[in-house]
Order: sequence, then C-alpha cells, then structure tokens
Amino acid sequence: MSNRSRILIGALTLFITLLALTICSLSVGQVVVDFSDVTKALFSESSNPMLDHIVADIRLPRVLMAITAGAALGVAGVLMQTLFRNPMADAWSLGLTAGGQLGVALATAAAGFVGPTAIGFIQVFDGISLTISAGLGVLLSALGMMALSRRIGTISLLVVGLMLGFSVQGLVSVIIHFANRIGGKVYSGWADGTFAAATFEGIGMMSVPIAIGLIFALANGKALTSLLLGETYARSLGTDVVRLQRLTLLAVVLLVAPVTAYCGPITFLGLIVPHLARAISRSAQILPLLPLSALAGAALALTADLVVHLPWEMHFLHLNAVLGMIGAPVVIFLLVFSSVTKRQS
Amino acid sequence: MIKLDDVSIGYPENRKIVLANLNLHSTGGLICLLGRNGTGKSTLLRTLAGLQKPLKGSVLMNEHNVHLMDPRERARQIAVVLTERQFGIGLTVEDAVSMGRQPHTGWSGQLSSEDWHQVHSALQQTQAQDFSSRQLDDLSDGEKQRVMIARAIAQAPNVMLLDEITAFLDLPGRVASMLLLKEYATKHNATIILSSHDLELSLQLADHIWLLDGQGNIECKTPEELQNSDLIGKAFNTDDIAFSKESGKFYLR
Repeated sequence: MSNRSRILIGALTLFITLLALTICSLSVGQVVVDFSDVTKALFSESSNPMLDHIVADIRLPRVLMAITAGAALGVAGVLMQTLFRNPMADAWSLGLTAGGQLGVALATAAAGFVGPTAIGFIQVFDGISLTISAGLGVLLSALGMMALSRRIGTISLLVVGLMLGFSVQGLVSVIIHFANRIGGKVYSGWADGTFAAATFEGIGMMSVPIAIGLIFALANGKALTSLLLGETYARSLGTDVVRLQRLTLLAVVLLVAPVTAYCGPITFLGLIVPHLARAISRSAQILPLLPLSALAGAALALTADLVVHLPWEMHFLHLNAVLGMIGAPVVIFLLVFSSVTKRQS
Repeated sequence: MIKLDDVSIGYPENRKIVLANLNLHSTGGLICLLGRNGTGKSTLLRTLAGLQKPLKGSVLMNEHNVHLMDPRERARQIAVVLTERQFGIGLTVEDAVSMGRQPHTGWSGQLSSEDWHQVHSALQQTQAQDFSSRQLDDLSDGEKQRVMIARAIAQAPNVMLLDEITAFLDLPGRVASMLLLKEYATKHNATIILSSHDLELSLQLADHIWLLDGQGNIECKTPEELQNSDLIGKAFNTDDIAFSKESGKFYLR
C-alpha cells in the first residue's frame, strides 16, 4: 500500500530530524560547542573538561529528557483523542496534568506536615513517590473527565479541562505558600514545564512506567482503531470496550504521570502531535500513529527546548511559551475548521 | 439461521419490557423489520446482535447462543449497521471499511492481500471506491451509510443487522442498497434483517417481513401474505391514513 510507504518515509524523516535536533541541542547554547567536540565529549574525553561537562552532564540529560517526555506525551495524546473521540483531547487540555500536579503538591505538603521522617522518606524516594502521587492525581482527573464526557460535549469538556488547570495552578501556589520550607525545593520551576532539571537517574526511573505505557498502547492499537467508529460498532467488531477503556486510561496514566512528576506541566504537545502524525499517515489507524507520534512528540519537545536554550542575551523564553506559540494556532484552526467540533457547537 | 426461543427484550435498569415471549425462526434471505416508532425495532436488532442481553430466553444462531459466544467469534458471524454518524477524527473511508476485517486479523490488525481484496470488493459493490481516500467526516449522510454497509460486507458475516439504514438515502439509493443486500443474502446464504419505515419497498423486495404491531406481537409473513391480511392496517392505520390491500399503498382518509 502507498499508505505504508508514506508512513515509513514519514517515520524515517522524523527520525533524521530528531537526530539533527539532538546534535544541535548538544552543541548550541550559551557556549557553542562544535560537532567534533560534541562527539569527543560523548564518546571519549576531549582536551577541555569544561566542554565535556557542559555536553555530557548538562545538555545530554536535558536532551534525553525532552525526547522521553515528548514521545510519552505524543503517544498519550493519540490515546486521549481516541478514548474521548475528541480532536482536542490531551493530558494537559483535559486537566490530567493538573491532577498530577496537584497530587505531587499534596503529597509533598502532607509529608511536610507529618514531619521530618516523611520529608526524609520523600526525598530519598523522590522520583518514585512523586510519580505515584502524580499517577493518582492523573488517574482521578482522568476518571472524572471520562464520566463528564458522557454528559457534556467536546468543547465544554475542553473548557472544563483548561479551567481545572487554572484552579490547580492557584491551589498549588497556596499549598507552596503554606508548605514552602519543605516544598519550595521540589517545586522550583513547577509553574512552568522544563526539561532542564533532568538527571540520568530521573530519566532511568521515568522510562520504566513510560515503556510499560507504550507497550500497553501498542497492544491495544487494533482495538483502539475500532473505537473510532463509536462504542457500539467497536463492540460489534468484537472489542471489549470497557476493558479497552480501562487499559487505555492505565496507559495514559503510566505515560503522563512520570512526565508531570519530573518536568511539570508541558502544554499543547500531546494535542498537536497526533494531528501531525495523522497528516503523515493520512489515516486514523492507531497502530502506525503510535511510532509516528512518539517521534514527532520527541522532535517537537526538542525543538521547543532548543529555542529556549538558544544563546539569547536574556532568558525570557519558557518552554510552554514556545509550545503555546506553535500549539495555540493549531487549536484555533481545529476549533474553526474541524467538522468534529463544528457539529457539536 | 436465527432462532428466538421465548425471548423477552427490554431494559432491566428501568424494568421496561419492550417485547415479551418472542418465538421466531428464520432460515435466511432478506427480512424487513417493520413497525411504527417505539415498537422496539432497534432494541430487537441490538438483542439479536448480541449487543444487549435479553431479559429472558435465548437467541440462537446456527444452534449457538449469541450472548454466550466469544465476542470475536460473534463478530465473524454478525455484522451491524447503525444510525450512528459521528466518527473519530481523521478516519478515512478505507480505514472504516477495512475495520470490517478486524475480527479476521491478528493482534496488530494487519490486513493480508485476501483481506484487502475483500475491502476493495466491498467498496466496489457499494460504489464507494471513488471516495475511498476521503475522510468520513466530509461525506454526506447517504455516503456515510454506504460506507458502513461496505464495512459490514467486508466483515463477511452470516447475519447482517441493519437499523434504519435507508433513512438518509434517496429512492434510487434505497433500492440500490436493498438490492445489494438481497444479492449478498442469496450469494452467501446469509440472513439480513433490515429495520425500515419504507413499507412499499419492503413489500416488493423482502423475502420475509417481521411486523411489530405495537401491541407486543411480532408477525412473521411473506410480503404476499402480509399484503392480503389486515395486519398492516392494524399496525399502521391512524385517523389520518389507512392501508389499502388492493394497491399496497397508504391513502389519506
């Protein structure tokens, strides 16, 4: 099929783009390191330990984090849009990220009020405990939104999700205010998403749930495609819809919670990437969309991160500001032109 | 072959019995399910499709209970076409029709060349091949309906259940769809049950008619038997219209 070659060429192009972006991100920054020094820093030792440190210890974790988080959010976006049959669904736009943020904030604040032992515990196991609290928050808001999606339309759901984000932002600042002595450190940079706080340990830790989430997504690709026809048709094609919805939600939680715990809220990415992937495959079959979205998500995350870290004279740009500049016009376009949203207005 | 053994259908959650103690038996062909709005046509079709449990009794297909079958196996045997017209984003006609092959494929849903052959043949039979790469959302209601019939044909079922599919089609479109379904039934020795409001067309094209009279009874007759009985009048006559046995048409009183 010609569809197949389009998907292969698209995936290959995305992969090459991702490679190029990776090299750019490793070499460009306040200090520009040329390509030969980048390879030396990665694979051996160059003459300049300072450059080695910048490339291998500061930039490399950030780049790997952007790739991991971008891929996870891209795939989660495909799952969300299929599950909710909503072209604007995404972990961020439907308030799942907000739930995760709140989960983390509450967990750290609670630990602070319990006492030093709890704080110590959270600090020792910070990756795992923060991911679990984020996971609970993501799960609860996902269940809430699922229930709500049966009562209200696509656009209303989107508005509710975004409002949830705003309320959580307020709540989190209140919580930080009261628990700032213990919480302050954990939340640095949390109002805005960032990949810059990455460590190799953190990346290793978050890649486990993300890998499981990706496997779940792949295993359910076929059944998810049938869900595009609606629940009744999906059932008539032999899909166990309730089980599928549960597994997909679980996959979303596994993909989104670690990203929220380690990078904070990343806006728009999961919303726009699936549209890009569909434009490449010119089909809505879920299985090929998954690798395409993972690659496109990683590339987009890295692009946004690269723009933030270009050698600007002053640091004004934030990750979500860059993503918003790309993402918001896409959402406006969808609201105005997508038949899915038009028919529900 | 479909057999209803003392089946009652309805909704247990609001204790509503739609039709009680049905005993029916069909050997195949094109069956038109007629009845006024609210007589239980859709509920009956959903129950036959295994999508809804009966309140009592059993629906048998070739001696197998439809509601106890493995869902995948059931999907190889029964295809449905519904009035649902809202689909996920980006779904193309080809995507939708190839989904008919899902019950026959492996975990990844990869289609073999034989599967593709069935998909293309179904597109051709419904004359939907010209817009096979377009998105479902951009099609008219009638075109969508043809695509969903193509999907059901690609599923290669023994039983096809269609709920008011002719509602969005013009007269030539309706006749074409019904003839296509009749041809499918003959060629594959299949049973096709089609709920419809189109009495005149059903009387001309159906092999059998199941008539819901609105009092909880279901009459199973050939079109000739039905036209010569008073049953149609009983089911459909109102103060405004009445059925004429002689012409096979309704007239205004």
